[in-house]
Amino acid sequence: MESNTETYITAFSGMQRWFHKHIIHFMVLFFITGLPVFSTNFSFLASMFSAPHDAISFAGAGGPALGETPADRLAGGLQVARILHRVTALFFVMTALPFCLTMLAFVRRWKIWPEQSWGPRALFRGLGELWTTYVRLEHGRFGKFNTGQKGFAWLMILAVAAITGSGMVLMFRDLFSQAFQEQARFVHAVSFVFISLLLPVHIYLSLIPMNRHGLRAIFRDGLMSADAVREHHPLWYEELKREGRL
Amino acid sequence: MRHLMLYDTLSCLNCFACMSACSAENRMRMARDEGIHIERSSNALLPETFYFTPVRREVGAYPKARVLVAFHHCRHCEHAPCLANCPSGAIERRPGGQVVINASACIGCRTCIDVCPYDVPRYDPVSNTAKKCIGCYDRVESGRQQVCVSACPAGALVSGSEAEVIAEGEKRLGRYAERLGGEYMLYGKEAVNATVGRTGWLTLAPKALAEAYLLPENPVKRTMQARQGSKTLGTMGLAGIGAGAALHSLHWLSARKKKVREEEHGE
Repeated sequence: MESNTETYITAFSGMQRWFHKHIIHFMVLFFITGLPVFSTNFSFLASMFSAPHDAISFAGAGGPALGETPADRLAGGLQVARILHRVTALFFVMTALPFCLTMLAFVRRWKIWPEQSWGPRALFRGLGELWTTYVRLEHGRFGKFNTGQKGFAWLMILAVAAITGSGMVLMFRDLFSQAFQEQARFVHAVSFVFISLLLPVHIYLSLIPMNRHGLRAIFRDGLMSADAVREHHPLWYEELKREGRL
Repeated sequence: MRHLMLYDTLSCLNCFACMSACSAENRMRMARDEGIHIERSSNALLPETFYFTPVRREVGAYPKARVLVAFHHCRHCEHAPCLANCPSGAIERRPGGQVVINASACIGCRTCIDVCPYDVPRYDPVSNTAKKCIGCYDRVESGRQQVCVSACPAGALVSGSEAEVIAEGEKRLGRYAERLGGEYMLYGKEAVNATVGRTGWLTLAPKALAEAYLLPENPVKRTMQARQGSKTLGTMGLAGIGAGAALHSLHWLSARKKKVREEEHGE
């Protein structure tokens, strides 16, 4: 049998890997700075931010002018969290813009479009392949991404667009009517909940052993061996063969 | 002990002494607490001077149309959504039931504004805090009446213990029904709805004019309800995902064990 062990395919470009790594940092920062405002169950996170706040106020005022009581510490921590949330948003937008523009230039070559055909039959076939992969633990016949990964990608695109748009409205909320601000806050909360449900699924499935080649590729050099592609992504392998890239 | 207020729309002369007294009292509080003296507060449009604002409404059709004045103010709800949702815990309930924003703990996130079904709190960009009526808790806790009540020359504003105010409201309601006819309501005596519950500020008004007097039958912010719902669904969803991941891990481990055993037997 022919072996392609020495041949490697670029699964993820430098831009994709760069964005994926940074979006993890952004997500962590967004979560820990947004949760204390989202729900009082996460007030303990705000206390974490009150320490630098108190240190700054101590240095500025020559004494512990702020943060003397638990209520002050909570308020101070929340203010720091809100500022960090907005600064993170600024850097996120600065990072996302070049990524989105680069990706939009290749929109027809995205691997999250349907592989061979569109419609309910193709969808059910894809779901069947998911069952084969994750329940029977055998490799299904799919391309670079399976139906679940494609669905995840589209839902994530929609949720991130919604949370970014509503976040921008909330950042400049005085430009909008009260009713629109409230709707933006609702969209921001719902898309956050949506993202916080999608992410654990994404992280769990990326960590299971059969997906380790993709995991290594996205966090290391972006390369996957041709053998791994042939075994795990048969439709993609066939496509690469047809295009003469293998 | 719960301390209530009652506004009797039928006895009201529309002299606005309550509004002027409220504004003046809050200017005094600003001078006392924040060092903003009268000469400054009188010349600035400050949220503190708009805790009790008249809203002119035209009711009826020509030639019987008439103007009435409703008052927009905090109702000190039993289940105040502002208090329940404030992330910094800056909103507290005083022993008399008044719902009060503690300015030093307020972070200006405007959650209270977004969730209030009566659209009461106002954002002050200068101090980056939200402001609303404090129910003159400082006066009440010193054994005095709210300033609007003490300024009312017609007895249209009444305050006191829960039993006293409700008894007075019901007495007036019965008298109006008997002498003037028609149906009247004591808004806030019973739970208005599940969101706000009873209110600390009761309003006596003709039932037919409830809407004109800014007394909604079901005060609620749909966006707030949906946001709360999403939190519950999110928690349930995360629990489901955790359980699903645990089951899948067990399934994978069991399949892996079986495969290893088969390989060992094969060897």
